[in-house]
Amino acid sequence: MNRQWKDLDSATRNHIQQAFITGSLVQEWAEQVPEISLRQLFAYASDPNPGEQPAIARALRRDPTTQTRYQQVLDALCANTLVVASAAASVPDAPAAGLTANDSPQRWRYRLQVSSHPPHDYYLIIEVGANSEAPTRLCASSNTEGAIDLVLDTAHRGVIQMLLEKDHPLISIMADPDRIIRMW
Amino acid sequence: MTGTAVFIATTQTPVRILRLVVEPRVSLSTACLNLRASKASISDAYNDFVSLDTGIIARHTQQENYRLDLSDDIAQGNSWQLGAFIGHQLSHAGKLAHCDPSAATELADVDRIIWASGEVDVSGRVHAVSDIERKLAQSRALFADAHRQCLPVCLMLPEGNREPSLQVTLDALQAEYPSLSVQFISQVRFDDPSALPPTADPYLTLPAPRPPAQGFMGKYRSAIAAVSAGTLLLVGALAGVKGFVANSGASSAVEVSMRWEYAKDGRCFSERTRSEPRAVRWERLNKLSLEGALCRIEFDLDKAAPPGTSLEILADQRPLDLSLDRSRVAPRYLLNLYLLQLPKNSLFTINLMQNDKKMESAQLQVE
Repeated sequence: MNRQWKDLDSATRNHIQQAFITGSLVQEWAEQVPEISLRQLFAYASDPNPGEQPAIARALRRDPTTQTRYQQVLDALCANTLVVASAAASVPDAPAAGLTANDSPQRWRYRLQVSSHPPHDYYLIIEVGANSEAPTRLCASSNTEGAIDLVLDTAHRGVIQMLLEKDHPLISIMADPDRIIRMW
Repeated sequence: MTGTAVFIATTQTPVRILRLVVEPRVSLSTACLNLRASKASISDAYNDFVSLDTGIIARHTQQENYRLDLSDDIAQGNSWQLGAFIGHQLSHAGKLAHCDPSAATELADVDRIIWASGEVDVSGRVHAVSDIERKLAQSRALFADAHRQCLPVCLMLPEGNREPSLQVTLDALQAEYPSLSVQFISQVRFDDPSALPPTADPYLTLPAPRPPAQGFMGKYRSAIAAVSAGTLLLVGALAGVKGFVANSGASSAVEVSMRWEYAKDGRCFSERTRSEPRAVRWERLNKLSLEGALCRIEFDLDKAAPPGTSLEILADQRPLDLSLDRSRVAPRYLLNLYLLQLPKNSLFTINLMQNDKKMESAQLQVE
């Protein structure tokens, strides 16, 4: 049997109105929660081998809020999280290069090189100084190009050398002179 | 430009070296897959194999940073080292056949194949490896393709693997694919033989001609590497010949034309020049004189030749091994002279056969 609003007594009307308001508040609250939680970002950053995380990777590329929160996580994660100055070093023929600050506990130097041969892939080369531990992760961010987080290859003879296809997101971020590179 | 295709034998599939280039601005040599930004599992080990302080390549080439592209991954072991060494040696001499990943098994622009398995230490000694029989079994499709295309295939194996049981397998394979030859080696040298004077090299010896087999398909011949006393040198040297062609004589019901490839500097695997076709004149002396080294002669049969027609080439009354290309409209026979140590003024006999009966004959003199 169908009952209409006009047929309800006052107490029932109040009960239904209160349920509607509560439901609306829950919906509104749920919409305000970010897609990627801080806990997820922390777990992602602290896991040396996080595997494929397409939702986080997508949010880092496109969502400024997630990018900011992730940088905050990295800064808070541990003392070895390092900011690498983008313009502190220049290497001939390298589209991008940088090295850790003098007061950093680790001596790392990175550079990007274009392959001399088709299909002209890029090499990300990170040289690890003596008495330094090799980084395992790299996060590159730019105001215009977003951010990307890479799991680095294992260092061999003090060098991490990774091949990147020319349309890899890191390439466009590296092209931004105001990029920030964090390695840890 | 043709060249040598190098395949590294593995227990999964023969892995072709697609490309080998210098990357002057990188820090490590890298082994990659299929010309993509994907590293092979042996990449770090490959860097050590090349490196000046731990490896064997850079000390010869004065280059430390290479990119090696492979058609498939090589998961483990060191048996890839002999193939990689040969690839570097050929690449350094400009004789390695490069190709796109999609064409790795098509063997286009390839004039020979080297299939190798062995471990190479820093002094160039070649050490025995395991699973040779399985690697051979996994390469049957490659051998069959090479056989169809009349490409010589040289199997390079460590001397330490020379065992009776393996020999039985190799003999069976060679019976099935006569274009296969086998070289057991114990030591490799990086010397580029093309830089040697075009005279008989002390390290250069060539296998004795194989006795003629039944039919021309059984007369393949490969043996493209020169090996002596367990020392590997790639690419043979040739004695030069000079002059021009002077043909005269009568015609035949079946026409055979010939064209030859020669190289002025003795390098038969690069920069060779092919002549225009000339008709073989039967019952006459066909003189062939060149200023350069004679590498190969092609004999094309008339496409109207009746079934059962074939060619036979003899030197000093001894039949020579010919490669037969049946993929053409009419049969083409290839006489690879760089496989033979022939003195100057060698005299060949060309016999036109019909069901193993000699129908015509001509003489060919190389001056």
